[in-house]
Amino acid sequence: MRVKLIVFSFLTVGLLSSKCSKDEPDEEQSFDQFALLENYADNIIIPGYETLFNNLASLEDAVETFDTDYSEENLILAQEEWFKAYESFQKVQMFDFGPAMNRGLKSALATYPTDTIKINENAQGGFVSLGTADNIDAIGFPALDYLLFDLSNQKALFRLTNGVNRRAHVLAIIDKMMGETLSVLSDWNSYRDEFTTSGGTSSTSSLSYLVNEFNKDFELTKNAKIGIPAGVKSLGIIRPEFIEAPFSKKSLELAHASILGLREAYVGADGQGFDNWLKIYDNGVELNTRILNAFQEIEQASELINTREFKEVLDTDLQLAVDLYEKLQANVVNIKTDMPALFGIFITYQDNDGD
Amino acid sequence: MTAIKTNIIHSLFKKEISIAPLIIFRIIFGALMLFGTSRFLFKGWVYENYILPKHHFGYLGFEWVDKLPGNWMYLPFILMLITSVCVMLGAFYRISSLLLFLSFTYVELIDKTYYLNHYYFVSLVLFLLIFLPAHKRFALDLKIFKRNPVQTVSAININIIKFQLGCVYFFAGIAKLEIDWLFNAQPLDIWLDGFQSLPVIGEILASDFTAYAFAWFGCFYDLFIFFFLINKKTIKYAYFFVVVFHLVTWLLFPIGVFPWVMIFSTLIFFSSGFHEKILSTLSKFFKTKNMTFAKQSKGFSFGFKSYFFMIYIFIQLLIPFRYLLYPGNLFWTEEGFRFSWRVMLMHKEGLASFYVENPETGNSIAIDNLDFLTESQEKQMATQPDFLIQYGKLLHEVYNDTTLVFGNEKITLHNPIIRADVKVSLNGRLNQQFVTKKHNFANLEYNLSHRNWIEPFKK
Repeated sequence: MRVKLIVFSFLTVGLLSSKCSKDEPDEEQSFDQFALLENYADNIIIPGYETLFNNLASLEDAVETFDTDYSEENLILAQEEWFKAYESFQKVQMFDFGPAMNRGLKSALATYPTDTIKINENAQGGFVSLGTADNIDAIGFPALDYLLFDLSNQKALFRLTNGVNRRAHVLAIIDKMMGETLSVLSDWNSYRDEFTTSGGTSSTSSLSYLVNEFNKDFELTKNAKIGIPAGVKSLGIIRPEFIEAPFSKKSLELAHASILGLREAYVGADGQGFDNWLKIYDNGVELNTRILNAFQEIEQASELINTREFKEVLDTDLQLAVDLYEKLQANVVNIKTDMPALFGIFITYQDNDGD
Repeated sequence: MTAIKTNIIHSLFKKEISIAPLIIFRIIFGALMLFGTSRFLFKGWVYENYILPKHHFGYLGFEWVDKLPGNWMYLPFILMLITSVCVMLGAFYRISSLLLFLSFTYVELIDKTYYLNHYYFVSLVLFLLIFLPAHKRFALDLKIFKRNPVQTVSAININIIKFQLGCVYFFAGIAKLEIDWLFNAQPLDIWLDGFQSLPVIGEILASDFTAYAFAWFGCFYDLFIFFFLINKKTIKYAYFFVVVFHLVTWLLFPIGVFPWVMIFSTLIFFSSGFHEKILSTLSKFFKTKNMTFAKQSKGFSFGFKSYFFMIYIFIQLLIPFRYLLYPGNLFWTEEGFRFSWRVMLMHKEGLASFYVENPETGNSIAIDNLDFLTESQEKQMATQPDFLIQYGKLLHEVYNDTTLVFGNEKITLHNPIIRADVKVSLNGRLNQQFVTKKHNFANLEYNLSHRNWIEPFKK
């Protein structure tokens, strides 16, 4: 009898407590994770790789044109195509999972600082295997930054015009980048279904990959693109040797593109993104506002310097770069701590028991 | 009055009762230890938790406990494997139970990153087992030392285990009597939301109703289960709830072996008749000869061991309340949080950004925590004040009187200032400031006094 009483009281308490619960339980279920995944796959990631590939193809065309006519105009055209392609990479580099991770796309395309001595050696001709680990800092966009821009346009023009092997090397590097991008793109054809149907928030779920890689890339932009050159890890001593694209002087423009790309990834472009997902949680609306505001402040801080040469900013306006770093830093707790907590995603993969 | 007192003391301490429940408990706990240790080894956690990390977070007063170099860390685990088998079989019980306690507790003391209530529970039970005559029947020791088995023991030898189990439940229940748990169903709500995408049951699990139902059921369960377990009439039903409760938690949450430890340990509450039956089945299976029981020893004297257990009980009842000595929100400051059976009660996430500052120039280095800590360590460090102090001290140690080379520049740091900007989110709330950069961690002391450098908790 007493036992029945207990069961009964448990049930009553349960029912009563449900009555005093908040009133939006229905809304909570209305969010469609799979629609979000499809949006990222079909409207952002796959088209993003297509754009990257097409831009690389345009770059190849431009370099081939230059190869037949060594004019400064043609060199500048190639340089512009290089920037367009590099810029389009900023929009997909945060999707470093699945095919991109398996193919090591991120490190193959954008490892810097680039090793100019190695590049010059490789560019002399003879058999060079660009795929080796040893050459990881002598390939990709940063290597082209050196080869196409060099110390000046005159220098680049001189060396490329007089070096048939150097021109061939530029094409070889672009070829490799195109091959890798194409592989990732074709891998996505089959990976797409796996990606869009893997629900849940476990550490191997698509959502977990998206959120984790988004965060990693945000940190990379904050630290590698801005913070380290600005001396935040070196007692205020600036480190221009760690600038991303020192020869083209486009580092801050690329960083700006990366910031815009991250914001775009956060809101899921025009479709369902993290922002929509956040809004289903009690605190998510407020958090989404915090994140968007933070992005706005970041963009504003970035726009103060994004058209300038990074080295020059470091020398004359260091505080502007540090400000941008701090604006980026201020958003980390929102996107890395609060957001995954609401989503129920663990940023830490290390597997341990809880109590 | 004194008569009642003596009666209670008699029935709880002195009364001679069947030894069978203790024997079964010994076998079960040995087996659980064997399982738990094997699982730990199998998961590669010895390497990940104890060999890989460069630094460890010791407990206050036990920071001298150091890990063994490299693969020697497997040694205590191998010792645990051997001694848990010995305990299970009742072989060289006195020494093996002591070594099992020491090796397990040694490993626990190395790093509080891995503190779990149930590890603490295991440590306590292993400690108690050292003093209990759990090898006096159905044990290899009887053969080894040519002794006759014993049929009864004084009640305290079994009641102390029941007390310990009761502590876990009852204090866990008291701890749940707070606003977040009862009226916000937190952190259960955020944890259960993680199941949203499961087909069919996902929506049910993620609903607010389920979170509140679990929260209230869990609270009632923890508060009262002990009393239904010690009542002969209700134990069967109570045990049913024990099994259901722990199976549900095992299914839903990553809590390792704890459900199994509790499901099997609580068998000790069943009658001696129940345990005698198991023992006789086991005896038949192992074909142990009919036993002639030893003559009952002198009878119980209320001696050293009883006073020892009384002090133990007293301490166990006090420790969970030590948080009352501190001002502020317990979940926020965690002063007096550990060793108090606050199980599955809190979800904290944090971001701790440390800066090593050159006192001469005011310039600093933004620290990447993963240069010094593992992900698990960083996660714990970011939300717990005592970890923050220890980490701050570690950074001071690393950078003090150190010459750093950046490109062509060389800087030697003397007595650097260690600052931290820490933000923490508690039980599904958004992050708020936990520690500001105005404090120098190099000067903070790691002790038991109240940490007034923690920013106050806002709702």
